[in-house]
Amino acid sequence: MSHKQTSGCLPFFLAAIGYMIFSFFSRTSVGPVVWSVVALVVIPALAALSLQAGSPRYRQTTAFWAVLWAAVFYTGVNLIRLRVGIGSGELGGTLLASLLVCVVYGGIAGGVAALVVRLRAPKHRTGEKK
Amino acid sequence: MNLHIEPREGNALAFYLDGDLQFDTRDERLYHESLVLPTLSLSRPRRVLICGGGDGLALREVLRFPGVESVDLVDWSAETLDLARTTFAPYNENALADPRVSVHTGDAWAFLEARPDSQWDAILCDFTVPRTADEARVYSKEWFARLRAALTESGVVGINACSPQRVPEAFACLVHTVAAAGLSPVPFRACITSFFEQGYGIWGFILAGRQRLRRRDLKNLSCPIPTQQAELSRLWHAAKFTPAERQRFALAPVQTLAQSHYVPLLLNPGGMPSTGAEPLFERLLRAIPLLHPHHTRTMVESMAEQVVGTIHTLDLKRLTDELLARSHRLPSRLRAELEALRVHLLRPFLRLDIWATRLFATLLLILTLANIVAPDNAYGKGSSGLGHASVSRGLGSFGRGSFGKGASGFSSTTRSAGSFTKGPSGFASSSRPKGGSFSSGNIKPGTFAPEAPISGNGFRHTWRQQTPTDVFGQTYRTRTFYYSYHSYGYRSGVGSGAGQPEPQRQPARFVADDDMLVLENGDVVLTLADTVFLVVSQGTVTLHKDGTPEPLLSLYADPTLFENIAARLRDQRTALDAEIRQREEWLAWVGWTKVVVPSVKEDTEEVASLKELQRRLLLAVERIGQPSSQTAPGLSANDQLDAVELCTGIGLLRDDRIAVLGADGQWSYYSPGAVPANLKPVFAAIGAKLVKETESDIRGWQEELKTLASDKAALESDLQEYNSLASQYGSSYEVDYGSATMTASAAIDRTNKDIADNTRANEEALREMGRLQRQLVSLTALKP
Repeated sequence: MSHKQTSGCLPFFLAAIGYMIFSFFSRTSVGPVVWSVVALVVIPALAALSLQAGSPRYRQTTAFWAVLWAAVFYTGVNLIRLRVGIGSGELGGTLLASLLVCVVYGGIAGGVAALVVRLRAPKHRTGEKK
Repeated sequence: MNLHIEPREGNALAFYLDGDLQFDTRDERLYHESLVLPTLSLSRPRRVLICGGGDGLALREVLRFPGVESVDLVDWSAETLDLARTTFAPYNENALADPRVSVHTGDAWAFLEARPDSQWDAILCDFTVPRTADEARVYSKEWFARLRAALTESGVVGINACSPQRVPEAFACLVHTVAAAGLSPVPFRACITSFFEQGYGIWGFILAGRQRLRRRDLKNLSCPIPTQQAELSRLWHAAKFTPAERQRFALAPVQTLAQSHYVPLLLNPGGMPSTGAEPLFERLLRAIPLLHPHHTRTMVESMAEQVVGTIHTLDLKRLTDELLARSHRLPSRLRAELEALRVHLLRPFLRLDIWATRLFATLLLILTLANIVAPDNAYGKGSSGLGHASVSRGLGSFGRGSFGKGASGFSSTTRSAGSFTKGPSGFASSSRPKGGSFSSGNIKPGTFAPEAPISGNGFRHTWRQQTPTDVFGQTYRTRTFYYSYHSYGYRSGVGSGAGQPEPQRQPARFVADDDMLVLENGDVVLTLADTVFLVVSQGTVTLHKDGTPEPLLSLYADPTLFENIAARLRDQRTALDAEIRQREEWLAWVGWTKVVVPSVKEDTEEVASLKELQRRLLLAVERIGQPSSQTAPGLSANDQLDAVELCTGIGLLRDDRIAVLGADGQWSYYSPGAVPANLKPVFAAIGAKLVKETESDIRGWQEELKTLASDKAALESDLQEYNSLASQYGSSYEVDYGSATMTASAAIDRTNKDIADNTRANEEALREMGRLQRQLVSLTALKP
């Protein structure tokens, strides 16, 4: 069976736009719960839903990486924006913490996107091939 | 057709047809006995058909077999049949002349089509290996079906196949085709020495019965005539194939007239390309089948590379777009493929699946954004701010450099210059020193705008160790103040001794300004000299000296001073608000990493320290209170001239007297010889500090005068040049003026204006120098 393979650009840009809009709200103002739901669930899920074509595995992988990178950009840019205004602190620790946060948030967002694709994928119909 | 006979050693010869070895007389019996005898042994024929085999060697074997009554030999090559009757006659034992043999020259397919069914008990297919799809007709399903029909019920076909070793896919194709035609195939191998030496590999044959034929039939094979080269007793072993090979037989394509698989498989040993780690292009090249025997793999690859080169010159994206625009009549599947191709062609611009590209893009984006947000920090150009010469002269009110960290503790090395407003204590603005000790006018609310955020680590490490820290996080030497608010021997309108606490030791916690400290209990201290300070608390201002807790003087509580101190503290508190918010936002992101990143833990502690400082600043604002006094009497006009403010409420008059404005709002005057003994060293210390600062200011103005003189010389030189150019080329001649270009006349006007400004600045500097020098002379009078 051949599947139409679509690029991961669409979910990436959708997620990036979502994160860009969400960046107008500071994390402390929206609170940890709302932030977690929107940044780690809603935006990844919406981006993942944009993937229509391709095999389920392909879509999962594409959604994972596309949303992961969008989340990494979002996190990284926000951390840089915040950190450049803070003069104190240790550079090494700051970089380490930033890297850790980027990886974890990106991984979670990407994982949620992949999970959404998986849950949305139609189940195989038995008896189709005779 | 190219026929070639090659003599071999002895009387042997080899026969080549179109370059392919047909037989070598030294081992041809091995081939023909393997092809003929098993077939005849299984069928016990009376009537035999030989298709191909024009050389007569197979016929020889047939004729040897007992019971054979008639043999039809069909071969389309008359030349080969002629050779069989002449050159090959000694080898085929003149078989074509046998009366049982009928030789037909022509196409075997047509011959068979013209004959009724069930004619022969055994049929032998001894064709040459096909080179074209047309030649491969006699290896098709339809051909074998025709053979099946031509056989009697117990008939068997013997087929010359190909090498199961060199072209296993082709061999499997043939086996599967025979089975598909309704015959029961039993393939087997034979090692024909001459074929092997020629590179053809181990040769393959197929026995196919109309009835079920099994491998075990070969085990019990009984040949009535002896063989000379073939070993039929081992044929059973030669017919043994592995399960994988048998599976390949079942999965191989079927050769039909409509779809030729056999020839491509023969020409492409190895079958379909592997999907291993070969580069994509190599796999693509291997996927192109050789469809003609004169083609070689090198030729195909060379041609394919030319095609690839041509394709590279095409604008594939545009081509795909055009095709898609016209694709409404194409099948949906083809349109989908075109869409996929278009997406693929777009991908090189967004290769997010390549790590290096992703990393590069990430870094590029982050650096770009970081540079937009903070150009200096992002590229490590250093912190912004303090490079201007004017800062070193103390023109900025709260530059970071103004916090003295020298051995003198909190003494300032530079002074504030933006606060020459008339103070409420009555000293004329012109008479107040630029570098005077803390006075009410020196504090201007609303001017606190730190150029750099908190950059020191004071709030991260030492704040909780009671170390004085300023709003930038810089730490200072610990200093403790020992004082009480009242003196029993002093009658003050405010701060009555009744119920007042005992003398207390309070460490400085926060450095709010050059000379302003917030103590542990929230009191504000204004340092006047290393050992002299004012305590501002609960609406009172008292003068103290280290080592003596009781106040030396209770001074007039200037409401403006209180307002300005409170405003300054509130400004700093506001600045801290922004810093705390930023750090809290940062911690909202990274706070959870503090368990593994110590730096983040320090960030958390820093926020806690900043919040504590905020509380302290609020406490300090409440603690200083509001004075009850509203207005204070000023000095006489005569006294105001050239008076030097030592601190709020204390001035040095022109006649060297010292004027003190008490807490009750009354002026007291001390002539130089009548200053109380306990106040003498205090005034002297204040004066000494002011002398240092005044001298520093004078040096600054001297540098300024030098710069102005240098600038003036340069301007005059420029003016001379502009005048020269204007006279030589006219006033509209374009000249460079700094980084701009303008006419010579405009440049002359601008330069003249600059010279005038320079002259005014020079005069102002000279005036200020003179005033400072007079002040310096006055201050020397305070020396003990």
